[in-house]
Amino acid sequence: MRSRVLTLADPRAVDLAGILQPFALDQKKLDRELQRLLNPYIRWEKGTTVSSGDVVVCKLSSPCPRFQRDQVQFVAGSGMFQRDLEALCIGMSVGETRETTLQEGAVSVTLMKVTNKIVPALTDEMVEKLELPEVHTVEEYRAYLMEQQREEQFWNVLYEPQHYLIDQMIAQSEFVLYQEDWQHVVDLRLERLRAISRHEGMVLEEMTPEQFEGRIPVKSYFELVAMEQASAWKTLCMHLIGRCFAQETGFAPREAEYEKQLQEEQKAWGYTEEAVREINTYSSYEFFAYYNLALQTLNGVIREQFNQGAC
Amino acid sequence: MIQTADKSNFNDLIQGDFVVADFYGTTCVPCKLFSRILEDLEAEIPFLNIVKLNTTENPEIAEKLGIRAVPTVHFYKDGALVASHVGVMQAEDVKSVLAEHMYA
Repeated sequence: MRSRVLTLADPRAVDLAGILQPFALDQKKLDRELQRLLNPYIRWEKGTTVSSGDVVVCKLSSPCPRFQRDQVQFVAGSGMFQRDLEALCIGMSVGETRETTLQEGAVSVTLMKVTNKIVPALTDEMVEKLELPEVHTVEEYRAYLMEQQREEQFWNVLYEPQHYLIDQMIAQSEFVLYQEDWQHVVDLRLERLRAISRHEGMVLEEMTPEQFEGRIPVKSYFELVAMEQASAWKTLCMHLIGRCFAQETGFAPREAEYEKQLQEEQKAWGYTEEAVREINTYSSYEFFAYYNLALQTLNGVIREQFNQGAC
Repeated sequence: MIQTADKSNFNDLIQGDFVVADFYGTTCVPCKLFSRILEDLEAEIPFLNIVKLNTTENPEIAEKLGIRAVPTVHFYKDGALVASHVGVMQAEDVKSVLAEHMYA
């Protein structure tokens, strides 16, 4: 390959502010997850007064048929029956009667029975039972959940800044690009797709719009070639950027990694070993290993800025 | 209470006063999310009857009931289907269905 990078832009110098949403902890979600750990430890005990979350049995009297009941059971404050009535029950004692006027009409509520919800405090022992590696205490579990949330949020917000950073890296770097290398990228992609379609009993060049549907977002082979040609310059640039990063880090594509990738693909798609080797040639693996290194490195830069958000 | 159904007991399990039936698939990721929501609901509403049916292992029932996607949620009152939903439901949405049908 004769194409090369003359000067490489510094990805850390690209301003992602305004595009990248920094990490912001969702406290409600965190609390919900912590609460979830307590679910198996909740106890229910016969009680005398109602708090939010308790199970109550009431007698209702009203001109409205929905609220004419000798006995109705619901959870106070849950919203599963009627929010205003549930709120009215909170603080009531067994035998007590309260009255209210709802949109539907006047209702008289007599508390017949209450079962209190007893939620224990979260303990290290409860966390230990989860058998999570290196998570033994409530604080460690809290940190673990926050890290999960951070990871989930990162992948959710990555798309836009990733594409912006790739575009900026290409725009701010200097390349010498040869058309023969661009053609090589197009050929690599088409050869792979040709092999896949062959193993699925089709001929890539003759595929119909129906056969493309759900597989590749084009309607004809010519449209596919145009699509691959349009993206090949960017792919080539990313490969070259990856080669620069490889020089800095000592990365090199390895035969063992290629074999591992083949095994994974064979397992995931159910192809024979012969088919999977034909679909993923070593030269294709080698080319895209540098491309992926570029992508991972840029993702790392985005992650640094993302992590600077409040936690 | 959450109970796991199969083709031998599904019809019996939905005969309760009010039952939420969750039709899920073995490898379905959204189903796992909904399963956790149901566990939260069970912890909040201990008298709610929840029945779970694995459609991967019990395709005959899924076909008979016209389940075409998972998760699908059915709400039964005295054994009769009163509401259904395809896709994950949030806890508040499940409670809205309870408010509408469980006490109707």
